[in-house]
Amino acid sequence: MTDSFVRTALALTGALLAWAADFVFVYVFAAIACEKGYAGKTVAGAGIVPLASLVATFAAAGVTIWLLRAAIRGRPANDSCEVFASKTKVAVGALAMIAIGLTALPALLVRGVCA
Amino acid sequence: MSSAGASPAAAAEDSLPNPLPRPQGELEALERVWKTPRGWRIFSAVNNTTIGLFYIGTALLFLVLAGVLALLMRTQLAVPDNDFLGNRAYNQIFTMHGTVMMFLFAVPVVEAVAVFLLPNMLGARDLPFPRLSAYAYWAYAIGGLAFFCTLFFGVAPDGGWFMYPPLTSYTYAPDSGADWWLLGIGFIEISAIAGAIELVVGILRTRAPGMSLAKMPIFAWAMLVVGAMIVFGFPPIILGTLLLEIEREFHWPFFIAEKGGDAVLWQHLFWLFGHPEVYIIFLPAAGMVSMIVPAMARVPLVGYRCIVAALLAVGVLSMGLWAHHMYATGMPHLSTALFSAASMAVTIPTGIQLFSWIATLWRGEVRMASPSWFLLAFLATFVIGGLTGVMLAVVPFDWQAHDTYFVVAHLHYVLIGGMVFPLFAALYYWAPLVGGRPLSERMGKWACALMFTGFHVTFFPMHITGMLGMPRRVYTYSAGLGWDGLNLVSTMGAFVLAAGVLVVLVDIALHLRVAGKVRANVWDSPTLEWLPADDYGFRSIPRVDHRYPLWARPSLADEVDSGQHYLPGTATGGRETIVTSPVEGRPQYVLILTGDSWLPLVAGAGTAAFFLLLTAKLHAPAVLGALVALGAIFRWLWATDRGATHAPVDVGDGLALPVYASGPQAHSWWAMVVLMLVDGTVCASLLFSYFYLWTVTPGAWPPAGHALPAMSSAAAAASLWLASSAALSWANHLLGRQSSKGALALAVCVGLACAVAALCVQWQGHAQNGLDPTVHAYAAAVYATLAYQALHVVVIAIMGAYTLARAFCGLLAADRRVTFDNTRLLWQYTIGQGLAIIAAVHVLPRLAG
Repeated sequence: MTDSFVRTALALTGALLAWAADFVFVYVFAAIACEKGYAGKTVAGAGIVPLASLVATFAAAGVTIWLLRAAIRGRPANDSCEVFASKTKVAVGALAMIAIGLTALPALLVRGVCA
Repeated sequence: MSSAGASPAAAAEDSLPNPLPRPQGELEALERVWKTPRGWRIFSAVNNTTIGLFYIGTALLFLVLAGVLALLMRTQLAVPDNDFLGNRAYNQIFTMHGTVMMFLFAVPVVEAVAVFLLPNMLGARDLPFPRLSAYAYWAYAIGGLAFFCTLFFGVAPDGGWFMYPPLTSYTYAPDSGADWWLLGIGFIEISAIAGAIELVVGILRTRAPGMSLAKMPIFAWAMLVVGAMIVFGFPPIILGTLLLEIEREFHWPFFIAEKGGDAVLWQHLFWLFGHPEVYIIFLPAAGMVSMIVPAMARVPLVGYRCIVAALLAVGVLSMGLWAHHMYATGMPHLSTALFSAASMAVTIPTGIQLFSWIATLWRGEVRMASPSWFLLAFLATFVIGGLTGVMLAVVPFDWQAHDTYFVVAHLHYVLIGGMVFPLFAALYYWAPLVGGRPLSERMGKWACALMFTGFHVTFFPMHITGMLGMPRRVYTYSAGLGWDGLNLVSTMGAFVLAAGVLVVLVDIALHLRVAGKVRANVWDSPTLEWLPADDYGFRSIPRVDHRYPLWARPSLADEVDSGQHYLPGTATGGRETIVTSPVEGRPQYVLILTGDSWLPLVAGAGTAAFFLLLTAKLHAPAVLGALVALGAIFRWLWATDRGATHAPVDVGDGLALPVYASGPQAHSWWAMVVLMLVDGTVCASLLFSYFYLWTVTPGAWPPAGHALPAMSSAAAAASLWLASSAALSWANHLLGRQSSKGALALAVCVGLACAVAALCVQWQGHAQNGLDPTVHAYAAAVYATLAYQALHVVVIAIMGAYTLARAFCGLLAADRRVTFDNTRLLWQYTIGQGLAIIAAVHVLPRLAG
């Protein structure tokens, strides 16, 4: 394992940071849309806020899946620190995927975004 | 000799780093260097193990004081229409109870336990900044006690521990109570952040050789995550308290609706800190549990990697939960649902930890001693608190239960269940490290039984009183509402709970003695803190090749104690520890640590005096306090950047390590980066406030009646900031070429002049437009960003002057440049912040039309 802390830290928490970016985007977008009065706009029949929320969720899920795939494929055989990092990345990625999935639910289920 | 980066794991398993016999006088020299001062000089001690004990003792004192306040409240509420306490006294007492528990007990005690345990748990002689820990402790202890004394003078805050405006605005709370809270916790925030820097850098850089991240004890993982959470979680409240105090003192209307402010902004800033705070308290407790459970069950922890993943997940997810305290503020439905979903998500990693502990207990053969009793009390109580938390995460339920006693019950189940029971388990588990023998088993079990019973008798009925509609924070209630009997039961339970705590205190008084050398692995525990230790930590720094080194290598204790591992003496005649690489734990250099000194105490007292005297509006003495603090801090820093005073030293295993490092390898560089993360988060919180006010302001931004300065003024300011950056890069170049001190001074002074000019240009642009910070929240927010930037210019001016002073005293050179590197980091950060502020204030409003 290369002894780069920043790289290791980003690798371990990357999937969670993808969730965080998704979460912040959806929260900020919904808040601004509601305050500034354009939450009612639609694109191809879909509300702009749920649509933006789902796009962000798919992007975050895509990043997480990519990270998970890299962790599973690049699994080393003999370095205990590498093995630890690899398995932990998989566990973190799985937890992040659940969180990202839950973050998508409000956009799908909530009626009256700004009510 | 091999290079500094060589791996200790490469050595054969049974080839120990240093041979026997050890040279005569080696141990005596080590003892002499590390000897803890005796008598009244003990207060000049900076060794983290000693400071950790002070810290734990003081935090427990605050637990007792806040507990007494709780008993007063419960006595008042025991019967309806009681007049034991008046409404004003009750308000002050419940505010101080919450504030003291959260700010003066819960956060400090987890940092205290970490400061005490981590040096030995990581195999370090000490953490890298012992004087910083001592400073953090003294600021906390002196300031905390003075803050608590406001109760006795009738000036204690009474707005609740979350101090919501407008209740705490100058209109509705004109007396000084809120000021005591807002400025009084300033030193606690500083103390917590200083502690976090010490812990993060210590965990990443002073682990024993071979202790890679994969072999790090779970408690260290938990504290690493918590340190990061403090770094990102505390800045919003630092900013919030500053803004509210500025509003109260200078009438800048950040939170006043009729002047464009918004009281809900305070709630955002408070809970951006307040919710991570819950996990800042819980995660260390979870880390303690993850250490105690394997020792008591006598098997390795089930799911080590899953627990690490869970800690990381909780650390990040908990940053996205803050608004679940704000469901009743009228947020958009989608936002409330989003926070509800995040609140559900965080239960999963928490559940993973719970199941891991249960599985470990199930797999092992549990020793039913006092720590195990407290662990079981924790598991049962915390699970109930977690489940009611899930209930409250559901928006419609929260709307019904909001601000009722149901919430009071929930938060105490989580905080006492999730933190106090594990803390007492830890107290009983690790007590032998202090005095060489365990506390009384009999008293421990009695204490646990009383606390568990008392706790549930107190708080379980509150679920029902809450559901029956009893609001929190009422000082009395009328008879016949169905709350009478339940409140009486709660009060009786509170006294039983207090009796349990009293038994623990008596046990400590009777059985805990501070011993010198401790060799007492009474639980047959597997981790390094149980090695024989003295003031210097371990005789030699162990080579670690297993997650449970004492189980994997039963001879380790004897090997370490006989000096066969790394650095068995003092190589330079001073206090030292080995700095290792952050991921794999490869030895990199020998850090010469600072010794005992009165300076941290003086600096801590000065800091506390500054905040407290400022609150009392004694401005001149407050400035004097600040100068004393700064003077003491610079005096201690003066002796730190020593350069390579010795040739590389042989630490064992054929490793010759340098005694000095600069740039990204230096431990102080890491500390500076962590400090800048704190600083950057304060700035981000300020910009969040600015954008928040923009969002909630109807119509254009700037609002009607306010205008932006000409873009040429912003462009001029940006150019000056960039010129300042270039000047400092020039200074860096000059230092590398060992040019004259005069040229270096010229470069630094030009850089500073450019920074001051940039600030003046921005300030003048707004002033010329007639922007008045007392008129509208927009103006207040703009001036707040400028004031924050001005503060940075002052700081870089002080650091620049300090750096030049060192240069002219011959203490700065191309190969002795840590001071300059740290100044440069902050300087360049300031430039970046200045440009970000220009973008937010000048560019984005124009782009938005």
